[in-house]
This record gives sequence, structure tokens and C-alpha cells, in this order.
Amino acid sequence: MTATGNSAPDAPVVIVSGGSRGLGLALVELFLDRGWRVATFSRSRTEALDRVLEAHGETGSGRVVWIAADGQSGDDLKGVARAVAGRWSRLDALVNNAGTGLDGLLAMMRAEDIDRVLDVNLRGAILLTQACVREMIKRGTPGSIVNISSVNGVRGHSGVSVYSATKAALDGMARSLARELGPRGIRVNSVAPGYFESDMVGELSEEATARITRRTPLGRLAQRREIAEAVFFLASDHGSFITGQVLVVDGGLTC
Amino acid sequence: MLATGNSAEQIGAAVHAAIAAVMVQRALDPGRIAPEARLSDTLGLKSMDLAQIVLTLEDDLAADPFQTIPITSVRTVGDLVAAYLAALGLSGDAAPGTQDMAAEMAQARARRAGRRR
Repeated sequence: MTATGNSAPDAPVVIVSGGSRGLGLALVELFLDRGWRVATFSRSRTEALDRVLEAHGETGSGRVVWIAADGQSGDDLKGVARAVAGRWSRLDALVNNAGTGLDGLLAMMRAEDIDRVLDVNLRGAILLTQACVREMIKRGTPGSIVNISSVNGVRGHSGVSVYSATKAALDGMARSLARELGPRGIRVNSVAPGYFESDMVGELSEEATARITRRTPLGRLAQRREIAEAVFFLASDHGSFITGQVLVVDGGLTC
Repeated sequence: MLATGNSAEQIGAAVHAAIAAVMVQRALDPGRIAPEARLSDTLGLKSMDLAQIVLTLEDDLAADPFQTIPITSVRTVGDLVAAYLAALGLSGDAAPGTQDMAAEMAQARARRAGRRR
């Protein structure tokens, strides 16, 4: 665990999985902007994350920690939740952001590729949720869990069947867990982004991107920050009476 | 976490303290805690309360008996203490209720099936 300072002792604490790049990094930055303390983990760091750590780590505000952890290891994930809750004596929110894509016809997919997506997108998220929920229950404090789902979990799209299955599964977990944990004041929701500026969309052809834009009532892709704002809304007290829901943030693509 | 080499009395006290802490949090009367008190019927604890107690004791005693025996086998405060004593090697007895384990699991499955219908 990368040691950092311990300023802002009353600030709420969030764990963001996969915060070294893309939407995860945008989430880390947004929560920091709003005064939260943020822990994130990944197998390795990126230059962009290093800049955030420099500004907010031990030499900065002391409100961020990065932990080297394998998102597919149950022991690592349990260790992350324990280390964060122990270090800051609280855990207010979890954002299950880590994920990976898999495009192609199901009939042609290799079993090991299917296993990899299930492990990263679903098994890892479930184990991390379990680890964080255990910390929240132990402390008897309320909390919030937000899964990063996808419009692919809400509507069918050719070529993303396995990815869609993992995202729909996260939404199902959110609904059931919302009922299980509601009496303890722990809320569970999903945010289902449409297409936003990301590495995954960057791999689409210009023609495909233009088609998506044409079909989106707001006429553009989302900015990462716009997705992050919706996540923050649900994770924070702004969404204090919302649980078991899927918030679609897609510019109207699925309406 | 308690030091290693705890006595049975210390284990019992830790279990009672964990139950009491949760009962206070839930505005229940911890004065009713007794070995024969039923966790649900007598003390008014719910399954999530029991989960909180077990998670707290995992930290305090560095043990989780319910990785090997079903938590549904525990009904009384005494059962819970016995489960920790067995897990920590301080009791030669079988974990509480293990002889009824199969029957209880079958009943639990039947209840779940009933709810799904």
C-alpha cells in the first residue's frame, strides 16, 4: 500500500476499482474535487495517476492512496477493503469500475477470453463488494455501492453478448443486494453509461462512431466527467433515497 | 484482536461483548444475554445482526467458524460461544448442532423454495 498522509479526518471515504485510467481516473479526480478521501487500486500505475498522487498523496493533500492489487484475487480485494477501512476508520462508498471489453460473435469466442471477462467484470466486482460490505456491516455504518454497468446490460447489441451478460448481472446484484442491505442503510445502484470518450470507443471506426452519434438524441458522445457526476450523485448523500436502481446516462440513446 | 492463547472465559466474554455491542446499536436490551438465550427469538437479533457479530469476532478472535459449519446451526448464545471454542481448539465437542446440520439445511432449502413459488 502506498503510504500517504491522513488529512481531512472527517472526509468520507470511497474505494474506486481500476482508478488508474479512463473513467476510473475521472472518478478519482471528481471525488477528490468534492473533498472525499479516495483509495484506488490496480496492478500498475499510470503517468496520469502519478500526477494525481503527487497532488493529493503524501506530499499533497493526503487524501488519496493507491494500492497495488490484483482485481481478480479475493485475498487482494479483501486486503484492499480492510486496509482502507482500517487506515481511515471508515468506508462510505465503493465504485465497482474495473472492467474490460470483449467484442465479437459468441460462436467464435475462445473460452479463455470469456473466462477473463467474467472474472474481471463480474467475479472481481462481486468479491470486492463482499469485502467492502463486510467492513460496512462490521462498523454498523451506512454506505453506498455503485456499479459501473452499461447500456449493453439494458438493451441488446450484437457482438457484445458476454460483456452484456456481465453488466446485466451487476444490475441484478444491485437490485437484490439493495433489498438485503437496505435495512442497514447501505444503498446499491448501477450507472449504465452509453457511449463516452474512452479507450473502448476509441477502437470503433469513424463510421460506427458517427452512427452512434446520429442515434443519440443529444447528438454527441458523453464526456467522462458527465458519467462520473452521475456516479457521485448516487454514491453521495445526494442520492440518499435511491437504491436498487439502474441510472442510464446515455444522452437518450435507449429512450 | 485478543492475544493468542485465550482462555475459554475470555472467548465467552468476547462473544458476549460483541452481541451486547450490536444489541445496544439496535436499541435492544443486552441484559437478556444468557447462554440459553435464543439469538433470534429471545434477543431479537436478525440475520444481518448475526453477520455483524461474526465479522466483529473475526477481527477480535482471528477466527470464523462459519467457513466450515453453517451459521444456521447456531441458535443460542451458548451455541455461538461453543462454535468459537471449537474453532479455536478449546473444546473437544463437535461444533454446535452439527448433528442436525443436514436436517437444518434441508429445512432452509425448503423455506427458500417456498418463498420462490
